[in-house]
Amino acid sequence: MQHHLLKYLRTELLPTAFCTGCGCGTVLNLFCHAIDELKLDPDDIISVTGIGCSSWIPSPYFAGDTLHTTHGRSIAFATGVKVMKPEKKVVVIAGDGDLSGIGGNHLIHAARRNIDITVLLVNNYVYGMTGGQVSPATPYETSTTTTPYGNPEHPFEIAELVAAAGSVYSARWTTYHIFHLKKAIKEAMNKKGFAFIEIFSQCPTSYGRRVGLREGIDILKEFKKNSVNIKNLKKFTEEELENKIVVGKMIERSRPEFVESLQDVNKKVMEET
Amino acid sequence: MAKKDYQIYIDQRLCKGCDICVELCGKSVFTVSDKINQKGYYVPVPVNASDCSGCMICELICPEMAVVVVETETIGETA
Ligand SMILES: Cc1ncc(C[n+]2csc(CCOP(=O)(O)OP(=O)(O)O)c2C)c(N)n1
Ligand code: SF4
Ligand SMILES: [Mg+2]
Repeated sequence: MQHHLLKYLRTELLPTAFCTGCGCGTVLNLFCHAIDELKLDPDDIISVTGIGCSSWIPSPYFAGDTLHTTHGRSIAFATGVKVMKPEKKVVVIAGDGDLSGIGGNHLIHAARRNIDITVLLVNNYVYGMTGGQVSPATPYETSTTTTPYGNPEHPFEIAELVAAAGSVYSARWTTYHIFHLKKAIKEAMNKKGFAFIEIFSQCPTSYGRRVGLREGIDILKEFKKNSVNIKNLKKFTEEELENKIVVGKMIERSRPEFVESLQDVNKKVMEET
Repeated sequence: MAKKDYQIYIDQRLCKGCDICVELCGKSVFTVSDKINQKGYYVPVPVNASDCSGCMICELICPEMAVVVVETETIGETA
């Protein structure tokens, strides 16, 4: 008896290269469940990734077309793919370092353009693959390999940043919130325009080990303890919300989509010339 | 309401013994194995599968897609 959703994976490559208890695998699992529940054909999905452990979620494991690109540039490549193949669902899955660090500008400008792609940003607080260096998502005062005395910087609130930049859908969940996250992935996949989910995910190896949370389950328990649903924000003072993870949907709205607007402009120019 | 019955399968080839299912199952269905498998992992065993409520937490959260919950049959009515 094997998993009915293994049909979506390149099973010859399993088990995954992820460390024991890593949240990347849970994101892959929920992505497959969401695809299955939406009855999407993997042939209609093009996944684009960058560099990092989280970038391995669709590539090589998801058995659809994947484009494994350079560090930070997945959204730039995805933009090209979507403009040339607007009939496909284009999904980007990559890390906090990739999408909010080196690729941060691509992220906010894609949200501003409102191009119809879905982005899952796997936030494990650090550069997991390269050994746990500080990232733009590392919490204040946290010890990492490059901030051994504590991080003097403050992290981006990425889901809020992307919402403010213009995305039509932005949410934040953790790998502990499996049912909410699965629903959010389905909503984001169905949403026309730039749909974004920041997923807090456990990296027991490069992050957890340094902060006394050695096992995946230890970080999952922290996610449970430290999460506040956006619907309950009013019950907390600003002080109480320090170091909390605000989960929920930051924004959902509709705005003209970039590829359609581009096609309209092209059509107008063609008619006039 | 009819009480449903579930079977739980753990794929020995995929499980890496992270024990997240053991910790998060609300019905204590799993127990940590004391036997090491061929790959060197202690794969959990669903010893109390008869208590399974079919909530799907273990299947959805498993980072290796190694756990499957299958509804087997409906076994009579309960209040
Ligand atoms: C241009 C460039 N700079 C730096 C690197 C080295 N590098 C590889 S992965 C990575 C960070 C990965 O962090 P993140 O995107 O958060 O992914 P994670 O591994 O944490 O999932 C870096 C800096 C690179 N591959 N290319
Ligand atoms: S280093 Fe961290 S993010 Fe990378 S596979 Fe291991 S646990 Fe996962
Ligand atoms: Mg990271």
